[in-house]
Amino acid sequence: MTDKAVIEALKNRDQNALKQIYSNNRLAFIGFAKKYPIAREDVIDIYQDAIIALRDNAVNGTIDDLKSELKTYLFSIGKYMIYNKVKQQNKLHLVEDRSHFINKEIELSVNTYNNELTDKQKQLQTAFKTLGQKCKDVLTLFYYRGFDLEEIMKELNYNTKDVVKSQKSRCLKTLRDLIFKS
Amino acid sequence: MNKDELIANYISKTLSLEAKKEFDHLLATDSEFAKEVAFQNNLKAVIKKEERKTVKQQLRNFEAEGNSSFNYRNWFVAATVIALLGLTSFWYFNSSIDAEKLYAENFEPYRNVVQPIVRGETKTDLKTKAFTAYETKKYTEALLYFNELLKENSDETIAFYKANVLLKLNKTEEAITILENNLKTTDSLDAKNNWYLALAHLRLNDIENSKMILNELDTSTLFKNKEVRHLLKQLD
Repeated sequence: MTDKAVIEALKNRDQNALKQIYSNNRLAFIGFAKKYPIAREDVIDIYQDAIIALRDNAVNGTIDDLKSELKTYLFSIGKYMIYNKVKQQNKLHLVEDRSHFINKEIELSVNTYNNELTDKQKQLQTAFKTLGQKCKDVLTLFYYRGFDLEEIMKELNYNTKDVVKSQKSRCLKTLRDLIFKS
Repeated sequence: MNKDELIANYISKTLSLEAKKEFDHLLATDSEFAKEVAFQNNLKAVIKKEERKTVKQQLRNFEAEGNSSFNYRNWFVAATVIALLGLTSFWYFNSSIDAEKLYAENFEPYRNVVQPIVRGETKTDLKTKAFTAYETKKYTEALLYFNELLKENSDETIAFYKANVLLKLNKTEEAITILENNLKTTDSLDAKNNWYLALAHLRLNDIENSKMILNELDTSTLFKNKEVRHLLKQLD
């Protein structure tokens, strides 16, 4: 699979592609992380987070025109996460200059990765979980994958865009009712 | 464009320049509008978090399926703990440091990084045979092959793996001789040799020697640093 095909497959939540990219780079990443004083369990954890951040960026279109190899990109994310972890552990004073291998967008996606949800968001999360699958699907396509009404209509086999639109409004209303009444 | 459409286009990042102005204006002046934007932004963050949780679980499953050595180690530790539970009372009254237990918790034969073994491939050279036996945990067999290899020529790396086999076969003193011999010359294997040497001393209940080596490891290298520090703490 070419990098472009992998990115496309990740967008479509293709499990096989996810598994492929995960296992293809796993050992190399573990080897790469050996240079740093991090326990193996933590390395695996970081590697998984890096894959998730990569997938996020594939889904939201950030890496549609990726200049580097996908693997290089994945490792840049991972390396940055490792740095943050080491900094956290305070074991090593990093003298290496980060600027040359980190671009702004990787920095952003890593730094926002571990953001905890605010109290309001947690409340909303609880409400979201109580929604029916139909609502979850429509909202996830719209808010996470960035589909427009027409794309959602095709993806979920609705008859018209208007049906999608009113379905989405109903779901939002349910959520609002759930959190604003309490 | 009505307010709902404005927000929808904002979320999907398709606001035109003009619409963006209108959006910003409403955001600043219309508190109901601002509240709705905040609500939908929060929803976006929540759904992203949920997605990540799902994917994380998938990745954990891949990890559990595909990498049995990990499970193996967990099982090994679990089995050790269970086996030791029956004997804890004995140790409890005899010694505050349970060397054997610490040894069992920490010792794991060093993984094969010398000879990649490809399943289904039928290479028959001595090195492949040796490491195949090693990887498949046939340690007695591995020992014979390593001895053969060392007869051909002395090689510190092979000797290091032989020491691992000896530890596994409870021939601790022999392992110590090899590891100490290896450490007479300085090279990249030193940290690993020292780690196993510390464990070997630990097994013989020679806490002092074990601690000395671990302290040296702690200051000189990052190899197994977490384990080294953890072990040192327990030996104190």
